[in-house]
Amino acid sequence: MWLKSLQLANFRNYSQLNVDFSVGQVLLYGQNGEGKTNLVEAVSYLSTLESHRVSGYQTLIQKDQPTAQLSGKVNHNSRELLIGVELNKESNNRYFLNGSARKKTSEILGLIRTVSFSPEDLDLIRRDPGDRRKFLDSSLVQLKPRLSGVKADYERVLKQRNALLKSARGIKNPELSTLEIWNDQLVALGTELAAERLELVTALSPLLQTFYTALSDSKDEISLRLVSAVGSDENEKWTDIESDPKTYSQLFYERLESLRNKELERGITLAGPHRDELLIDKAGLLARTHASQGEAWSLALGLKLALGDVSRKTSNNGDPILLLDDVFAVLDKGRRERLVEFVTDYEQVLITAADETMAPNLDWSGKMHVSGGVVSA
Amino acid sequence: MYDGVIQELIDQLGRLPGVGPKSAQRIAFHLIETDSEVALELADVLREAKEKVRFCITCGNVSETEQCSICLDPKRELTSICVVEDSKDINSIERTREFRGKYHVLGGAISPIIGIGPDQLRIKDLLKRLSDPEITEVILATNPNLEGEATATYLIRLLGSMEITVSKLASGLPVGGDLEYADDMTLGRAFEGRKRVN
Repeated sequence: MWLKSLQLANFRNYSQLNVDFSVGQVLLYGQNGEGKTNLVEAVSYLSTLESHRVSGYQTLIQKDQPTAQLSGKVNHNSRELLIGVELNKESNNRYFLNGSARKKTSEILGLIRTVSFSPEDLDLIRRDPGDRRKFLDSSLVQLKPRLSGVKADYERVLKQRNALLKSARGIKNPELSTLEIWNDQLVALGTELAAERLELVTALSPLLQTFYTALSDSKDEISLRLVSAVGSDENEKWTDIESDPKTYSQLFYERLESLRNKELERGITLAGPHRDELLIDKAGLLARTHASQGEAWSLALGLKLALGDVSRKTSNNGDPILLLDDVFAVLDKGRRERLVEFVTDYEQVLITAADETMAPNLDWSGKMHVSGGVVSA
Repeated sequence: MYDGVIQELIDQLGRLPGVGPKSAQRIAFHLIETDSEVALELADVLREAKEKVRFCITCGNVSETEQCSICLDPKRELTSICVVEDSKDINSIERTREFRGKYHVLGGAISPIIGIGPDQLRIKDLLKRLSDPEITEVILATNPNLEGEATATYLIRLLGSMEITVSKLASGLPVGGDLEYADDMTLGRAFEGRKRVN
């Protein structure tokens, strides 16, 4: 698939924008702070309905405006779809497909598939488990939009259960007759989420190895492991997530049971997919703490390329759109050249750079200058 | 900000569900600018409703008498009780004319976030009613969302030991819809609750 045009109103530094893109490799160049990243963020938002830069959407709307509008025309094997989002400060956001309103975000999600690369990708390797869970979940939602509902339900049950635990804190004989019911819902939804994550990780793992080897010229063995903590609190250890959902839910129940007192003490849910972790091992050691800067970059880029591959293999509408935001500036020469090889066979790649000399030497199908919220060919 | 009573009216209207500050202002000015009869009639009916309407001591439905018209209706079957979250749900079910039994209003659904547990719902009253041997069936008609489902599950467990048939409303495909456009969750539920036809 490829993005044919993008229209923005009151989004970030774009009061009004109407821009056409060509298929193939498109360069967006301009000084920092002029709106390159905002443009890429808009495309990514139409795809995932969330921003990778901020949680919530209020900051995406211009300061003195009540609403912002984004719409993109995407080409699916020569069929055109128009996807629109209206962000509202004071009321619910609205979603449109070919001009008609859609109630469910799952009808919009994934119609534009993107894989974005940015300097923050290093966080995926280096930072908290939460960053890796977010990567898995937002990828899943794009690949299987139905899962946005499962995820939202899981989070809602988690909130309800936490509220119940909090209400029981410090009370002698707390009213916990409903805890089991929330446990059932938590385990059922959590098991589904974990199984989907595992399926994705299993698909990503061998691809990551291939891309890592090619990007880094290293023979190190790379593995991705999705793990859960099991056992009681004193006797806790990581264990690989079971591929059999029945075993996962059984371990989930056991873990909730053994953490019961601790949960009542702290008033939060201490087991479940929201606490699972994606471990990235490099030659048997944790990449988070043992990878060098260069290795960490190869892993981060490798993960994104692996996702791109999974996305194109599971799509009926061609390749995902690659968004490369300012990544070339932070890579060394070798990695830049090898990354270029992998991305140029995608239908469309949007690449941003501060100036043309910072960008790789490609057969550009379009070059656009971004300055002060204006994009000119 | 306006002065005195106008602002007070806007503030009061703004507390109503579904009315934001802008709508509150519009309604307030409409009431002030319109014929005084219209506004005063509204005030009268508000007072009357507040004075007369209360909750049926048996089922919890809104009523102007001690017991509501459904509980008092001798033609309604005494054998089955349909459990709903809210009195507004009774109205919806009544429109279908499918159900001839009586109702029980819980007054909400289990939701720890807003501090509602089983004790805050009219569950004890329900158990009291079910001690009547004439009642043989309970139909659970809570909302098909997480909180409604949790409430239904709680009641199913609670009533499990009693000699009563407990059923739950089916969830599935909307009438007049297309399979193609049904979301996975709905379609999955419809499969789960499929019905034998031969």
